[in-house]
Amino acid sequence: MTIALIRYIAADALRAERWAPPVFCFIVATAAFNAGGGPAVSCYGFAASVLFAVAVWLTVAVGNSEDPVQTAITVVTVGSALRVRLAKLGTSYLVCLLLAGIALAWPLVGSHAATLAAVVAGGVAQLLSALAGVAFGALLTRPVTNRLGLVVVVGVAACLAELAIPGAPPVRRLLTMFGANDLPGPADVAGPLLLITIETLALSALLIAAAQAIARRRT
Amino acid sequence: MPDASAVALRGVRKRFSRVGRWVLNGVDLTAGAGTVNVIAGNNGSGKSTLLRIVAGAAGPTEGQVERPPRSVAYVPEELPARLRMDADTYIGHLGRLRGLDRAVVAERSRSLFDRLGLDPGPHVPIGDLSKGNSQKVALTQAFLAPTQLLVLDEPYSGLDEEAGKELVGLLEEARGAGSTIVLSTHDPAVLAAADAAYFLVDGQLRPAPSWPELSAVERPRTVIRLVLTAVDDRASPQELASMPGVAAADYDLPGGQLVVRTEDADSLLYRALASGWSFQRGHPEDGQS
Repeated sequence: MTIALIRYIAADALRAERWAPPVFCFIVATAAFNAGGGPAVSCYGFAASVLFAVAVWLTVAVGNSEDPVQTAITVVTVGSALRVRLAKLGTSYLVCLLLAGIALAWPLVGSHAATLAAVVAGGVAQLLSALAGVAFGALLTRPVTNRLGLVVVVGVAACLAELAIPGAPPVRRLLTMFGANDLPGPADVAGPLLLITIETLALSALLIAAAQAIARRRT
Repeated sequence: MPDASAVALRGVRKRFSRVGRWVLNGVDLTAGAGTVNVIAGNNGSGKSTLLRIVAGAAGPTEGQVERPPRSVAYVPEELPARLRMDADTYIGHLGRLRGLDRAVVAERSRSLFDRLGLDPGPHVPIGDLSKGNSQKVALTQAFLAPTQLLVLDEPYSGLDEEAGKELVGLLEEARGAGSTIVLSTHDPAVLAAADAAYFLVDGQLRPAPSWPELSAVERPRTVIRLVLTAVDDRASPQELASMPGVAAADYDLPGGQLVVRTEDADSLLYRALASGWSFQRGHPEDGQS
Protein backbone atom coordinates (compact mmCIF):
# COMPACT_ATOMS: atom_id res chain seq x y z
CA MET A 1 0.00 0.00 0.00
CA THR A 2 2.94 2.32 0.66
CA ILE A 3 4.04 1.79 -2.94
CA ALA A 4 0.51 2.53 -4.18
CA LEU A 5 0.50 5.70 -2.09
CA ILE A 6 3.86 6.90 -3.42
CA ARG A 7 2.78 6.11 -6.97
CA TYR A 8 -0.40 8.13 -6.52
CA ILE A 9 1.45 11.10 -4.99
CA ALA A 10 4.10 11.00 -7.72
CA ALA A 11 1.45 10.76 -10.46
CA ASP A 12 -0.42 13.74 -9.02
CA ALA A 13 2.73 15.83 -8.50
CA LEU A 14 4.03 14.95 -11.96
CA ARG A 15 0.91 16.46 -13.53
CA ALA A 16 1.38 19.71 -11.58
CA GLU A 17 4.81 20.30 -13.19
CA ARG A 18 5.96 22.29 -10.16
CA TRP A 19 8.73 19.74 -9.72
CA ALA A 20 10.39 20.95 -12.93
CA PRO A 21 12.06 24.22 -11.78
CA PRO A 22 13.96 22.73 -8.82
CA VAL A 23 15.00 19.66 -10.81
CA PHE A 24 16.34 21.68 -13.72
CA CYS A 25 17.98 24.22 -11.42
CA PHE A 26 19.87 21.37 -9.81
CA ILE A 27 20.98 19.85 -13.11
CA VAL A 28 22.14 23.21 -14.47
CA ALA A 29 24.00 23.98 -11.22
CA THR A 30 25.70 20.58 -11.26
CA ALA A 31 26.71 21.02 -14.88
CA ALA A 32 28.07 24.49 -14.18
CA PHE A 33 30.20 23.41 -11.26
CA ASN A 34 31.55 20.37 -13.07
CA ALA A 35 32.59 22.46 -16.06
CA GLY A 36 35.87 23.37 -14.38
CA GLY A 37 38.53 20.84 -13.39
CA GLY A 38 39.65 20.15 -9.83
CA PRO A 39 39.01 17.37 -7.35
CA ALA A 40 35.64 15.64 -7.17
CA VAL A 41 35.16 16.52 -3.48
CA SER A 42 34.63 20.18 -4.29
CA CYS A 43 31.88 19.19 -6.73
CA TYR A 44 30.32 16.99 -4.04
CA GLY A 45 30.41 19.73 -1.44
CA PHE A 46 28.79 22.14 -3.84
CA ALA A 47 26.19 19.62 -4.99
CA ALA A 48 25.27 18.83 -1.38
CA SER A 49 24.60 22.48 -0.59
CA VAL A 50 22.52 22.97 -3.74
CA LEU A 51 20.66 19.71 -3.11
CA PHE A 52 19.60 21.03 0.29
CA ALA A 53 17.86 24.01 -1.30
CA VAL A 54 16.43 21.89 -4.09
CA ALA A 55 15.08 19.35 -1.58
CA VAL A 56 13.27 22.13 0.33
CA TRP A 57 11.77 23.39 -2.94
CA LEU A 58 10.78 19.93 -4.19
CA THR A 59 9.19 19.00 -0.88
CA VAL A 60 7.01 22.11 -0.97
CA ALA A 61 6.10 21.39 -4.62
CA VAL A 62 5.18 17.75 -3.97
CA GLY A 63 3.57 18.43 -0.58
CA ASN A 64 1.31 21.16 -1.96
CA SER A 65 0.40 19.32 -5.14
CA GLU A 66 -2.82 17.90 -3.71
CA ASP A 67 -5.62 20.32 -2.89
CA PRO A 68 -6.58 20.11 0.83
CA VAL A 69 -9.95 18.56 -0.12
CA GLN A 70 -8.17 15.96 -2.24
CA THR A 71 -5.83 15.27 0.68
CA ALA A 72 -8.84 14.66 2.93
CA ILE A 73 -10.04 11.90 0.59
CA THR A 74 -6.55 10.38 0.43
CA VAL A 75 -6.18 10.45 4.21
CA VAL A 76 -9.57 8.80 4.79
CA THR A 77 -8.88 6.18 2.10
CA VAL A 78 -5.48 5.34 3.59
CA GLY A 79 -6.71 5.72 7.17
CA SER A 80 -3.82 7.83 8.43
CA ALA A 81 -2.85 11.48 7.92
CA LEU A 82 0.65 10.72 9.20
CA ARG A 83 1.22 8.04 6.56
CA VAL A 84 0.10 10.38 3.79
CA ARG A 85 2.38 13.17 5.00
CA LEU A 86 5.35 10.83 5.36
CA ALA A 87 4.68 9.35 1.92
CA LYS A 88 4.80 12.85 0.42
CA LEU A 89 8.15 13.47 2.13
CA GLY A 90 9.30 10.03 0.95
CA THR A 91 8.33 10.79 -2.62
CA SER A 92 10.29 14.05 -2.52
CA TYR A 93 13.25 12.19 -1.05
CA LEU A 94 13.15 9.60 -3.84
CA VAL A 95 13.41 12.37 -6.45
CA CYS A 96 16.34 13.82 -4.48
CA LEU A 97 18.05 10.41 -4.57
CA LEU A 98 17.82 10.49 -8.35
CA LEU A 99 19.42 13.94 -8.39
CA ALA A 100 22.06 12.78 -5.90
CA GLY A 101 22.94 9.95 -8.29
CA ILE A 102 23.48 12.46 -11.09
CA ALA A 103 25.63 14.70 -8.88
CA LEU A 104 27.69 11.73 -7.72
CA ALA A 105 28.35 10.29 -11.15
CA TRP A 106 29.03 13.54 -13.02
CA PRO A 107 32.57 14.30 -11.72
CA LEU A 108 33.58 10.65 -12.26
CA VAL A 109 32.54 10.71 -15.90
CA GLY A 110 34.54 13.92 -16.33
CA SER A 111 38.23 14.12 -15.50
CA HIS A 112 38.02 14.99 -11.81
CA ALA A 113 40.46 13.43 -9.38
CA ALA A 114 38.74 11.24 -6.79
CA THR A 115 39.38 8.57 -4.20
CA LEU A 116 36.92 5.84 -3.22
CA ALA A 117 36.57 7.47 0.19
CA ALA A 118 35.68 10.75 -1.54
CA VAL A 119 32.95 9.09 -3.60
CA VAL A 120 31.43 7.28 -0.60
CA ALA A 121 31.59 10.46 1.47
CA GLY A 122 30.04 12.36 -1.46
CA GLY A 123 27.18 9.87 -1.60
CA VAL A 124 26.49 10.07 2.13
CA ALA A 125 26.71 13.86 1.93
CA GLN A 126 23.99 13.98 -0.75
CA LEU A 127 21.75 11.66 1.31
CA LEU A 128 22.11 13.82 4.41
CA SER A 129 21.63 17.13 2.61
CA ALA A 130 18.53 15.85 0.87
CA LEU A 131 17.11 14.52 4.15
CA ALA A 132 17.60 17.82 5.96
CA GLY A 133 16.13 19.70 3.00
CA VAL A 134 13.05 17.49 2.94
CA ALA A 135 12.64 17.96 6.71
CA PHE A 136 12.82 21.77 6.37
CA GLY A 137 10.40 21.53 3.45
CA ALA A 138 7.91 19.67 5.67
CA LEU A 139 7.65 22.81 7.81
CA LEU A 140 6.92 24.97 4.77
CA THR A 141 4.11 22.86 3.33
CA ARG A 142 0.33 22.99 3.80
CA PRO A 143 -1.33 22.77 6.24
CA VAL A 144 1.60 24.05 8.34
CA THR A 145 1.68 27.20 6.26
CA ASN A 146 0.12 28.29 3.02
CA ARG A 147 1.60 31.78 2.79
CA LEU A 148 3.84 31.86 -0.25
CA GLY A 149 5.76 34.96 0.90
CA LEU A 150 6.57 33.36 4.24
CA VAL A 151 7.56 30.10 2.54
CA VAL A 152 10.04 31.87 0.24
CA VAL A 153 11.55 34.02 3.00
CA VAL A 154 11.93 31.16 5.50
CA GLY A 155 13.13 28.77 2.78
CA VAL A 156 15.86 31.12 1.60
CA ALA A 157 16.78 31.96 5.21
CA ALA A 158 17.16 28.24 6.00
CA CYS A 159 19.47 27.79 2.99
CA LEU A 160 21.60 30.81 3.95
CA ALA A 161 21.75 29.67 7.58
CA GLU A 162 22.93 26.22 6.49
CA LEU A 163 25.71 27.84 4.47
CA ALA A 164 26.70 30.63 6.84
CA ILE A 165 26.38 29.36 10.41
CA PRO A 166 29.64 27.63 11.39
CA GLY A 167 29.02 24.02 12.40
CA ALA A 168 25.45 23.91 11.04
CA PRO A 169 24.51 20.35 10.15
CA PRO A 170 24.59 19.08 7.52
CA VAL A 171 25.54 21.59 4.78
CA ARG A 172 28.14 23.79 6.49
CA ARG A 173 29.70 20.79 8.23
CA LEU A 174 29.96 18.88 4.94
CA LEU A 175 31.54 21.85 3.16
CA THR A 176 34.10 22.14 5.96
CA MET A 177 34.84 18.43 5.76
CA PHE A 178 35.27 18.41 1.98
CA GLY A 179 37.32 21.60 2.11
CA ALA A 180 39.89 20.04 4.44
CA ASN A 181 41.32 17.53 1.98
CA ASP A 182 41.24 17.29 -1.81
CA LEU A 183 41.91 13.54 -1.98
CA PRO A 184 40.68 12.18 1.36
CA GLY A 185 41.28 8.64 2.59
CA PRO A 186 38.78 6.66 4.72
CA ALA A 187 40.29 7.94 7.97
CA ASP A 188 39.73 11.56 6.92
CA VAL A 189 35.96 11.24 6.40
CA ALA A 190 34.72 8.37 8.62
CA GLY A 191 34.74 10.26 11.91
CA PRO A 192 33.25 13.57 10.75
CA LEU A 193 30.61 11.81 8.60
CA LEU A 194 29.35 9.69 11.49
CA LEU A 195 28.88 12.78 13.63
CA ILE A 196 27.18 14.74 10.84
CA THR A 197 24.88 11.78 10.16
CA ILE A 198 23.76 11.61 13.78
CA GLU A 199 23.21 15.37 13.95
CA THR A 200 21.30 15.45 10.67
CA LEU A 201 19.06 12.53 11.63
CA ALA A 202 18.22 14.21 14.94
CA LEU A 203 17.58 17.59 13.32
CA SER A 204 15.40 16.08 10.59
CA ALA A 205 13.36 14.00 13.03
CA LEU A 206 12.78 17.13 15.13
CA LEU A 207 11.67 19.22 12.14
CA ILE A 208 9.34 16.52 10.78
CA ALA A 209 7.80 15.93 14.22
CA ALA A 210 7.22 19.68 14.64
CA ALA A 211 5.63 19.89 11.18
CA GLN A 212 3.36 16.97 12.03
CA ALA A 213 2.29 18.53 15.34
CA ILE A 214 1.38 21.84 13.67
CA ALA A 215 -0.31 20.10 10.73
CA ARG A 216 -2.53 18.09 13.08
CA ARG A 217 -3.86 21.24 14.68
CA ARG A 218 -4.41 23.07 11.42
CA THR A 219 -6.21 20.29 9.52
CA MET B 1 -17.29 -0.19 21.70
CA PRO B 2 -20.22 -2.58 21.47
CA ASP B 3 -20.49 -2.54 17.70
CA ALA B 4 -17.69 -2.79 15.13
CA SER B 5 -19.37 -0.29 12.82
CA ALA B 6 -20.41 2.25 15.42
CA VAL B 7 -19.16 5.81 15.54
CA ALA B 8 -18.92 7.73 18.78
CA LEU B 9 -17.84 11.32 19.37
CA ARG B 10 -17.53 12.52 22.94
CA GLY B 11 -17.00 16.16 23.89
CA VAL B 12 -15.39 16.97 20.55
CA ARG B 13 -14.10 20.53 20.25
CA LYS B 14 -12.22 21.97 17.32
CA ARG B 15 -10.38 25.16 16.55
CA PHE B 16 -7.70 25.77 13.97
CA SER B 17 -5.32 27.91 15.98
CA ARG B 18 -4.43 28.25 19.62
CA VAL B 19 -6.52 31.39 20.07
CA GLY B 20 -9.13 30.88 17.35
CA ARG B 21 -12.85 30.54 17.85
CA TRP B 22 -14.23 27.10 18.66
CA VAL B 23 -15.82 25.85 15.44
CA LEU B 24 -17.09 22.79 17.29
CA ASN B 25 -17.73 23.23 20.97
CA GLY B 26 -18.66 19.98 22.67
CA VAL B 27 -20.14 17.67 20.06
CA ASP B 28 -21.51 14.31 21.22
CA LEU B 29 -22.68 11.88 18.59
CA THR B 30 -23.26 8.15 18.48
CA ALA B 31 -24.20 6.38 15.28
CA GLY B 32 -24.92 2.67 15.15
CA ALA B 33 -24.23 0.22 12.35
CA GLY B 34 -26.80 0.24 9.57
CA THR B 35 -28.16 3.70 10.38
CA VAL B 36 -28.40 6.93 8.40
CA ASN B 37 -27.46 9.96 10.48
CA VAL B 38 -28.11 13.38 9.04
CA ILE B 39 -26.64 16.67 10.16
CA ALA B 40 -28.23 19.96 9.14
CA GLY B 41 -27.15 23.47 9.95
CA ASN B 42 -26.65 26.89 8.48
CA ASN B 43 -23.79 27.70 6.13
CA GLY B 44 -20.62 28.08 8.16
CA SER B 45 -22.04 26.24 11.16
CA GLY B 46 -19.17 23.72 11.05
CA LYS B 47 -20.87 20.77 9.35
CA SER B 48 -17.94 20.14 7.00
CA THR B 49 -15.45 20.35 9.86
CA LEU B 50 -17.52 17.91 11.90
CA LEU B 51 -17.80 15.48 8.99
CA ARG B 52 -14.03 15.62 8.36
CA ILE B 53 -13.48 14.73 12.01
CA VAL B 54 -16.03 11.88 11.84
CA ALA B 55 -14.28 10.55 8.72
CA GLY B 56 -10.81 10.91 10.19
CA ALA B 57 -9.55 13.46 7.67
CA ALA B 58 -8.95 15.79 10.60
CA GLY B 59 -8.48 15.31 14.31
CA PRO B 60 -10.35 17.05 17.12
CA THR B 61 -8.57 19.66 19.25
CA GLU B 62 -10.21 18.10 22.32
CA GLY B 63 -12.44 15.12 22.93
CA GLN B 64 -12.59 11.54 21.71
CA VAL B 65 -13.57 10.00 18.41
CA GLU B 66 -14.20 6.32 17.88
CA ARG B 67 -14.69 4.96 14.41
CA PRO B 68 -14.11 1.69 12.58
CA PRO B 69 -10.34 1.31 12.36
CA ARG B 70 -10.35 0.72 8.63
CA SER B 71 -12.62 1.03 5.65
CA VAL B 72 -14.00 4.53 5.85
CA ALA B 73 -15.12 6.47 2.78
CA TYR B 74 -15.49 10.24 2.52
CA VAL B 75 -17.23 12.40 -0.06
CA PRO B 76 -16.35 16.11 0.19
CA GLU B 77 -18.77 18.86 -0.70
CA GLU B 78 -16.95 19.42 -3.97
CA LEU B 79 -13.86 17.96 -5.65
CA PRO B 80 -11.19 20.61 -6.26
CA ALA B 81 -11.00 22.17 -9.71
CA ARG B 82 -7.24 21.66 -9.48
CA LEU B 83 -7.59 17.89 -9.78
CA ARG B 84 -5.81 17.17 -13.04
CA MET B 85 -6.27 13.42 -13.30
CA ASP B 86 -9.17 12.05 -15.28
CA ALA B 87 -11.85 10.08 -13.46
CA ASP B 88 -10.54 6.65 -14.51
CA THR B 89 -6.96 7.38 -13.41
CA TYR B 90 -8.01 8.94 -10.11
CA ILE B 91 -10.43 6.16 -9.22
CA GLY B 92 -7.78 3.59 -10.22
CA HIS B 93 -5.28 5.11 -7.79
CA LEU B 94 -7.80 5.29 -4.94
CA GLY B 95 -8.83 1.69 -5.60
CA ARG B 96 -5.23 0.57 -5.26
CA LEU B 97 -4.92 2.61 -2.03
CA ARG B 98 -7.81 0.50 -0.74
CA GLY B 99 -5.90 -2.60 -1.80
CA LEU B 100 -8.45 -3.50 -4.48
CA ASP B 101 -7.62 -5.50 -7.56
CA ARG B 102 -7.26 -3.45 -10.76
CA ALA B 103 -9.94 -5.44 -12.60
CA VAL B 104 -12.38 -5.15 -9.70
CA VAL B 105 -11.90 -1.37 -9.61
CA ALA B 106 -12.39 -1.09 -13.38
CA GLU B 107 -15.60 -3.11 -13.32
CA ARG B 108 -17.05 -1.46 -10.24
CA SER B 109 -16.24 2.09 -11.35
CA ARG B 110 -17.69 1.44 -14.81
CA SER B 111 -20.94 0.26 -13.24
CA LEU B 112 -21.05 3.25 -10.85
CA PHE B 113 -20.32 5.74 -13.66
CA ASP B 114 -23.17 4.17 -15.63
CA ARG B 115 -25.54 4.19 -12.69
CA LEU B 116 -24.83 7.79 -11.74
CA GLY B 117 -24.66 8.91 -15.36
CA LEU B 118 -21.17 10.42 -15.62
CA ASP B 119 -21.88 12.19 -18.85
CA PRO B 120 -18.61 13.31 -20.49
CA GLY B 121 -17.12 9.86 -19.82
CA PRO B 122 -14.23 8.84 -17.57
CA HIS B 123 -11.38 10.36 -19.63
CA VAL B 124 -11.99 14.05 -18.97
CA PRO B 125 -9.79 15.75 -16.33
CA ILE B 126 -11.85 16.02 -13.15
CA GLY B 127 -11.12 19.75 -12.90
CA ASP B 128 -12.92 20.26 -16.22
CA LEU B 129 -16.12 18.48 -15.13
CA SER B 130 -19.25 20.30 -14.00
CA LYS B 131 -20.07 20.34 -10.28
CA GLY B 132 -22.59 17.54 -10.68
CA ASN B 133 -20.29 15.32 -12.68
CA SER B 134 -17.29 15.79 -10.40
CA GLN B 135 -19.68 14.93 -7.54
CA LYS B 136 -20.37 11.64 -9.32
CA VAL B 137 -16.63 10.89 -9.39
CA ALA B 138 -16.42 11.65 -5.66
CA LEU B 139 -19.34 9.30 -5.01
CA THR B 140 -17.80 6.58 -7.19
CA GLN B 141 -14.59 6.49 -5.12
CA ALA B 142 -16.67 6.21 -1.95
CA PHE B 143 -18.77 3.30 -3.19
CA LEU B 144 -15.89 1.34 -4.83
CA ALA B 145 -15.90 -1.21 -2.03
CA PRO B 146 -18.16 -1.82 0.96
CA THR B 147 -17.06 0.32 3.90
CA GLN B 148 -18.02 0.30 7.56
CA LEU B 149 -18.42 4.06 7.66
CA LEU B 150 -19.59 6.41 4.91
CA VAL B 151 -19.29 10.16 5.45
CA LEU B 152 -20.87 12.42 2.83
CA ASP B 153 -20.83 16.23 2.82
CA GLU B 154 -24.01 17.48 1.11
CA PRO B 155 -23.97 14.61 -1.37
CA TYR B 156 -27.22 15.60 -3.09
CA SER B 157 -26.25 19.18 -3.90
CA GLY B 158 -25.45 19.60 -7.57
CA LEU B 159 -26.68 16.11 -8.54
CA ASP B 160 -29.34 15.78 -11.23
CA GLU B 161 -32.58 14.06 -10.30
CA GLU B 162 -31.67 10.67 -11.78
CA ALA B 163 -28.32 10.57 -10.01
CA GLY B 164 -30.01 11.69 -6.79
CA LYS B 165 -32.32 8.68 -6.97
CA GLU B 166 -29.37 6.37 -7.64
CA LEU B 167 -27.62 7.83 -4.60
CA VAL B 168 -30.69 7.10 -2.45
CA GLY B 169 -30.44 3.51 -3.71
CA LEU B 170 -26.68 3.25 -3.10
CA LEU B 171 -27.06 4.58 0.44
CA GLU B 172 -29.92 2.17 1.10
CA GLU B 173 -27.75 -0.75 -0.11
CA ALA B 174 -24.85 0.38 2.10
CA ARG B 175 -27.17 0.77 5.07
CA GLY B 176 -28.59 -2.70 4.44
CA ALA B 177 -25.05 -4.08 4.41
CA GLY B 178 -24.49 -2.59 7.86
CA SER B 179 -22.59 0.61 7.01
CA THR B 180 -22.85 3.55 9.35
CA ILE B 181 -23.80 6.57 7.24
CA VAL B 182 -23.26 10.16 8.33
CA LEU B 183 -24.20 12.94 5.93
CA SER B 184 -25.03 16.62 5.89
CA THR B 185 -27.87 18.17 3.96
CA HIS B 186 -30.13 21.18 3.57
CA ASP B 187 -32.88 18.99 2.13
CA PRO B 188 -35.82 18.50 4.53
CA ALA B 189 -36.81 15.29 2.75
CA VAL B 190 -33.39 13.75 3.46
CA LEU B 191 -33.62 14.97 7.04
CA ALA B 192 -37.08 13.46 7.49
CA ALA B 193 -36.04 10.08 6.07
CA ALA B 194 -33.01 9.66 8.39
CA ASP B 195 -32.74 7.29 11.33
CA ALA B 196 -31.35 10.17 13.38
CA ALA B 197 -31.24 13.85 12.52
CA TYR B 198 -29.37 16.71 14.17
CA PHE B 199 -28.94 20.45 13.80
CA LEU B 200 -25.47 21.88 14.32
CA VAL B 201 -25.97 25.17 16.18
CA ASP B 202 -23.28 27.17 18.01
CA GLY B 203 -20.80 24.33 17.61
CA GLN B 204 -23.10 21.76 19.25
CA LEU B 205 -25.44 19.10 17.95
CA ARG B 206 -29.10 19.35 18.85
CA PRO B 207 -31.49 16.55 17.92
CA ALA B 208 -33.71 17.68 15.07
CA PRO B 209 -37.35 17.63 16.11
CA SER B 210 -38.99 14.36 15.17
CA TRP B 211 -42.25 14.18 13.27
CA PRO B 212 -44.51 13.76 16.34
CA GLU B 213 -42.79 16.67 18.09
CA LEU B 214 -43.23 18.90 15.07
CA SER B 215 -46.89 18.01 14.66
CA ALA B 216 -47.59 18.64 18.35
CA VAL B 217 -46.64 22.31 18.06
CA GLU B 218 -49.72 24.53 18.23
CA ARG B 219 -50.18 26.67 15.15
CA PRO B 220 -52.93 29.01 14.07
CA ARG B 221 -55.50 26.97 12.22
CA THR B 222 -56.37 28.54 8.91
CA VAL B 223 -57.29 26.45 5.93
CA ILE B 224 -54.53 26.49 3.30
CA ARG B 225 -54.82 25.23 -0.22
CA LEU B 226 -51.62 23.46 -1.32
CA VAL B 227 -50.73 22.30 -4.81
CA LEU B 228 -48.23 19.43 -4.97
CA THR B 229 -46.82 17.23 -7.73
CA ALA B 230 -45.53 13.70 -7.39
CA VAL B 231 -41.79 13.46 -8.14
CA ASP B 232 -41.20 9.80 -7.39
CA ASP B 233 -42.86 6.44 -6.82
CA ARG B 234 -43.22 6.91 -3.09
CA ALA B 235 -45.80 9.67 -3.55
CA SER B 236 -49.20 8.33 -2.53
CA PRO B 237 -52.28 10.62 -2.79
CA GLN B 238 -54.22 8.30 -0.48
CA GLU B 239 -51.63 8.53 2.23
CA LEU B 240 -51.60 12.32 2.19
CA ALA B 241 -55.39 12.54 1.99
CA SER B 242 -55.68 10.44 5.15
CA MET B 243 -53.48 12.72 7.23
CA PRO B 244 -55.02 14.55 10.18
CA GLY B 245 -56.17 18.04 9.31
CA VAL B 246 -56.74 17.36 5.63
CA ALA B 247 -60.11 18.77 4.70
CA ALA B 248 -60.22 17.73 1.05
CA ALA B 249 -57.94 16.32 -1.61
CA ASP B 250 -58.23 16.22 -5.39
CA TYR B 251 -55.82 14.18 -7.43
CA ASP B 252 -57.51 13.53 -10.74
CA LEU B 253 -56.28 16.70 -12.31
CA PRO B 254 -54.32 17.08 -15.53
CA GLY B 255 -50.57 17.04 -14.95
CA GLY B 256 -50.65 14.69 -11.92
CA GLN B 257 -51.15 17.50 -9.43
CA LEU B 258 -52.57 16.99 -5.99
CA VAL B 259 -54.61 19.81 -4.45
CA VAL B 260 -55.20 19.52 -0.72
CA ARG B 261 -57.01 21.76 1.69
CA THR B 262 -55.63 21.51 5.18
CA GLU B 263 -55.69 23.24 8.54
CA ASP B 264 -52.12 22.16 9.30
CA ALA B 265 -50.09 23.07 6.24
CA ASP B 266 -46.71 22.91 8.03
CA SER B 267 -47.13 19.27 9.06
CA LEU B 268 -48.61 18.23 5.76
CA LEU B 269 -45.84 19.89 3.80
CA TYR B 270 -43.17 18.32 6.00
CA ARG B 271 -44.65 14.87 5.41
CA ALA B 272 -45.27 15.48 1.71
CA LEU B 273 -41.70 16.65 0.96
CA ALA B 274 -40.34 13.61 2.74
CA SER B 275 -42.48 11.20 0.77
CA GLY B 276 -41.94 12.02 -2.88
CA TRP B 277 -43.96 15.20 -3.40
CA SER B 278 -42.80 18.55 -4.65
CA PHE B 279 -44.37 21.83 -3.52
CA GLN B 280 -45.83 23.92 -6.35
CA ARG B 281 -47.81 26.70 -4.68
CA GLY B 282 -50.09 27.40 -1.78
CA HIS B 283 -52.40 30.12 -0.54
CA PRO B 284 -54.95 30.70 2.21
CA GLU B 285 -58.38 29.26 1.37
CA ASP B 286 -60.88 32.05 0.95
CA GLY B 287 -63.95 29.88 1.00
CA GLN B 288 -64.27 29.65 -2.75
CA SER B 289 -62.54 26.96 -4.71
